[in-house]
Amino acid sequence: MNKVAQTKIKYSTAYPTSVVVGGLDRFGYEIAKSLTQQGGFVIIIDNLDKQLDFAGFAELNNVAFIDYLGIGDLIDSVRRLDYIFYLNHQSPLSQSELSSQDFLAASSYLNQLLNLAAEFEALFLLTNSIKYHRLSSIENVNPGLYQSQRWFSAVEFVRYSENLALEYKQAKGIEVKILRLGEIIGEAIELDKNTNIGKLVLQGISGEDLYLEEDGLNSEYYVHLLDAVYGVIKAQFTKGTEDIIYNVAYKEPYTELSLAYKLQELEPQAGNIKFLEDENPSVRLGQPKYLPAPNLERIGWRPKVEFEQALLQTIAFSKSLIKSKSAASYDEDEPVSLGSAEAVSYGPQGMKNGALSRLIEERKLNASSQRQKFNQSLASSELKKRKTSFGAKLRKGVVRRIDKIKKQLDFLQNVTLTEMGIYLLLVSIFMLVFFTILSPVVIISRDILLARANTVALNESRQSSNWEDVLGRSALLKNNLKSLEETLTGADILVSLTGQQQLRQEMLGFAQSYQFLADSISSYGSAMKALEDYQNEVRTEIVPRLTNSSVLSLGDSQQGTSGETQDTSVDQQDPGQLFATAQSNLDLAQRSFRNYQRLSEKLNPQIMPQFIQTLFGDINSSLNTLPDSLSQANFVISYLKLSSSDSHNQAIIITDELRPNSSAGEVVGVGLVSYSKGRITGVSLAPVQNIAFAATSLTDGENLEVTRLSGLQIDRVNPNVAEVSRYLLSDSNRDGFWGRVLTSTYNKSIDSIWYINSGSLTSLLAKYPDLQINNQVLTSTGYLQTISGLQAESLNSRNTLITNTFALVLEKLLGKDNSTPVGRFGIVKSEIDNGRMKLDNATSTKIGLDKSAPEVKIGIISVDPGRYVLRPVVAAGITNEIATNNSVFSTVTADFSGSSGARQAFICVDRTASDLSPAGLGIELYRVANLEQYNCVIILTSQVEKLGISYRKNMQASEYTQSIALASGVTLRYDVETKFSPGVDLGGIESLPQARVSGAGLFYTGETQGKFKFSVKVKEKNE
Amino acid sequence: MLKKFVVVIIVVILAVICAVAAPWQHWNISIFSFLGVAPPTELARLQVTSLAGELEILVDGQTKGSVGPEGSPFIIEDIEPGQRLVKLVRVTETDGAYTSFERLLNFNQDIDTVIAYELGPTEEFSEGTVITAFRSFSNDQRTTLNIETSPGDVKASLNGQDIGLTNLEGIEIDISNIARIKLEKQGYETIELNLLPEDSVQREKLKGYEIQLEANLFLIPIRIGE
Repeated sequence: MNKVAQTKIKYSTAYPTSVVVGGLDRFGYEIAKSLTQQGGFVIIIDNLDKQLDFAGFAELNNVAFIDYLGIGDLIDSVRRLDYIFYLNHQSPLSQSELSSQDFLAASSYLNQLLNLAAEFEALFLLTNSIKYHRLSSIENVNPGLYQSQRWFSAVEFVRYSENLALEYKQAKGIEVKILRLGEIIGEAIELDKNTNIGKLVLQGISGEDLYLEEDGLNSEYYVHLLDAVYGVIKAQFTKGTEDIIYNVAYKEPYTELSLAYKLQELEPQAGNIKFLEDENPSVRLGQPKYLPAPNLERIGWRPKVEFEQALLQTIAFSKSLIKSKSAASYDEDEPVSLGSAEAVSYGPQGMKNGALSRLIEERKLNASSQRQKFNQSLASSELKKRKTSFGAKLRKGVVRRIDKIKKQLDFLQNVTLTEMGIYLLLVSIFMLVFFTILSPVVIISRDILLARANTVALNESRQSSNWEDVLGRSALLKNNLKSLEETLTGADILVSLTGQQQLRQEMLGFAQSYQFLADSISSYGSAMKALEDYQNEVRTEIVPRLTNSSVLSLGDSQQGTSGETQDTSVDQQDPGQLFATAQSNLDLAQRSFRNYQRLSEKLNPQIMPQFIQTLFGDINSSLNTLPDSLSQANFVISYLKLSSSDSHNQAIIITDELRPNSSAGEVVGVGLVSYSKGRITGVSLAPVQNIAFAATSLTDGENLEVTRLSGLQIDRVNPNVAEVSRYLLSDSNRDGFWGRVLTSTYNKSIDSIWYINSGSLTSLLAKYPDLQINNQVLTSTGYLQTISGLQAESLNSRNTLITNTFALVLEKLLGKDNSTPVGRFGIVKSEIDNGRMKLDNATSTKIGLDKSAPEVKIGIISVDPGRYVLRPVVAAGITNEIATNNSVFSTVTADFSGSSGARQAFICVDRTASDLSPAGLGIELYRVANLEQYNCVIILTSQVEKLGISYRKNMQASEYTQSIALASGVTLRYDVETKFSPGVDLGGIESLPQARVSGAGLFYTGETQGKFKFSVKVKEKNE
Repeated sequence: MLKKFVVVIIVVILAVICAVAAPWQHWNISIFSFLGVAPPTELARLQVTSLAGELEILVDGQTKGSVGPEGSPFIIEDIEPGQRLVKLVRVTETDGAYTSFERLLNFNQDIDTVIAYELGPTEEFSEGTVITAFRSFSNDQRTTLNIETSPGDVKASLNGQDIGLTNLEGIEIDISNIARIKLEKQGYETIELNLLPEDSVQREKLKGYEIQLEANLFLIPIRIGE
């Protein structure tokens, strides 16, 4: 009897390493031998107290032996592990009853080894016996059968071990194979297991009769030792097998009866075959049929030892074993060499007489010892976590994922070529549909929704003057539209399928037009940002000082000793550059907007889907304010550009619309704003009565006009400025006069004149509602009524009040204020558009004025002092008689009764008219003023309310154009009757809406302010 | 079953996300570059002619080159189609001596954008033309012309025929000839140019396009003392 001793192993990674659990027997020896012959290193784990029946292990190299108790060291020290063979087919644990503790220990041990396999990614092979597995399918455990402690039958561990192994395969992905072996026959037969074949062989070699149970038809699977070993090795090394569980046995089972017959053939000593009566015959009917696992032949294994040959070897081995057991004697001190270890055997204790008994006793001892070792192993060792490097973990993780994917794709192995082709075709069709139809539709929808959202946000940012956001949003919008354009351009398949060519064209046009819009708003934003930068740089503090001679002046911090501004800060940006940037961006904005409009007009929105029309319909209406914004911005920049030169002096002339005269109303206040590089360097404002005439004397033309219209003697050398200005009818005289006055008053050349009419206070005070004079809030409507109510006050008081009010307003417009330049000067533009303000270059060329002199001028020349004319209305009846000699005789009759407060009224006719005569008036009621350009008839309205004048003019090329100009603020209600003399007829009417033609002539009525003009063509009447 | 359903849902969601995000739109993958072959032209061109002095050309803020009268026209071939900011600056040693030219111009990959300019001290005393084209989105294949001038009310004629006072829009032009344009206004120098290329194949490409001609006329200074 031999034993082996635990070896101290120096682990290395040089050899493929295998662990054979329970391999300390003949079976294990054969496996170890085969593995070592292939250059591997084998670690056999078993109960080292086990008695061995042969000494073959001593011949093996590269084999180490570890007791179950040494499993902890194995886990700690092993660096490489490739294969684990868990031989459970002959383990005592699977062949006897186990207590729950033993079951736990054994299962824990198996658990540890499976974990080890997972740790090292080793291949795990579990062997069980077919016999006990078959039993597990028909046997049930009856709990409580054996006293109070739960006992597990042998087959339960077989079932448990297989299930556990399969679970590990599922959970941790380790390669597991389960081999169910038939009963080992040959030189490893276990005669002590009381198997059928064992009994028969023993009976046979003993010369006894062969006793069969029941009818001898119980069958078993058998396999020769060497075939079983070969099968185990082959199964372990064969990868990618279809199944996991295989039977390793001869293909067909053999019945007891056939075994008996064979024995009789092979063993001459064997007796007769006899049948034992079964006291408790088993009922064969209804028992479940056992389905064996696939035979290992599936992977190419074939039993090489024929059954008969195997039986012969079994018989021979049995005979030798019995003989050795019977004559057993031990030399207790004789060492048995085993590799590099030495072992000391010991004599059996408590062994009974008889070889078989001895074998059974040995088995029991081994089983008991093994259980103890398992229990100790469980208590003393735990699976210790090995420290692995990050690289190893990563590699392991990647390999595991790949293997997982491979397993999930295993189904492809079953896919035929045709099916693969169909799958590929379906995938291709899906990809085609996805990229050519689905994706473009989704992208187009996405871009439209984003474009809409960005357009709304962009417009809101524009309206709230958030220019940074404007620039960002416009870029986003352009990106959306660009994407939309590209997608539409590339969606040929989609368009072909849906037949929506026209819709695509429309949407492309829409995308491009909105890109222009985005550009426009972006450029507008850049321009406004530049203006805001200017504002932040050059805003000047202006202070109203209503009790001073100049009611407006610079703030104290910005005045030097000379009253001029100091450079209180270094210019961070050149205003000229800022204006240039703003102007160029505004030009870009206006061009882009024109492009947007031009493209938009060509689109037909009705073609586009309703939801797009709805999405963008409301935006389009809000964008209508953009042209106004651009126009306002253009004005603002133009205005501010004036100030950006090295020196620019702008005069301010404030007129009172409620005191109309021959021009825009009587002048109530005069001032000057001086600019240099965008900064205000000086400001001054005063009521007109405080302005002294410091120029040279009146010119002849000025004197003529004033004296003839007023009937007064004027001091030419030192005239009253207000009085003179009241009677200057012609533009040239008036502008020339004021130019000289302002130049001499402020001692500066005047570059531009800003005319401000008191009527603009309505909107200005509405914009700045918090202004106060003497603690009285200046509301737009109430304040004007207050001014109107000052009829008992002097003209000077009124002038002062209006001028002071504008001082407060100009402080807001020109001084430091939080509103944007467009916000401030936008109102100036609207007042200019409404005729209540005017900006002129102070040269002989007037911007925007109609240079042609009107034929007739009608208006109020002066107002009663202390009285104000509210809404002067003049009703004029005009008759024109067109004669055959291409001349026209006209009579203009003006009724001034609707202009209460007017003192003197006039009708002037240009001097090319002849035969001028006042109509229907006594000579004492009028006077005539012959001016350079006009002949004027003047009345006192207190004496005469109606004034008529008739005159003759020649026609030009059979066309007569009559133009009438009205003094500022005067409303003309006209009734024009044009008659044709016999021989002439109406040839055509130009620009005369609402004209009536009858047999008597041409009739035209209406109401207007400013200028009135109509033209009529005349032809010779055909007889 | 539930697992498969979840997988299908996840795949569908991923497909929708991919469809919405469409990352392939931003991939610049060209099979031609893989094969080492020059890709077909997808860029637009700008032609700049200097009528006087040397002009520095900037596109979207990047200097692309400079050109004088002798080296004209200067052709820039790597302009991405779409709206681009083009700026011309006359090279001078004196700051602010000349005005600059700045425009947002539309570039198409098939059609050159042409600028011929002389930059003077102010815009009034500068002269030049800018010709760009937009794809018309109307169904017909007409080629139309828009003319915008500074100053306005310039008398325009096409192939000797009077077509009205600028600014003009939607003038249909026959691409079978080169379309000679003449712009004249009293007090300004007259501009005459051939609008279309001489090659008929090139002119065919303009079918369905809207041509934009912008012209700045040179103000003739008032003679003094005559």
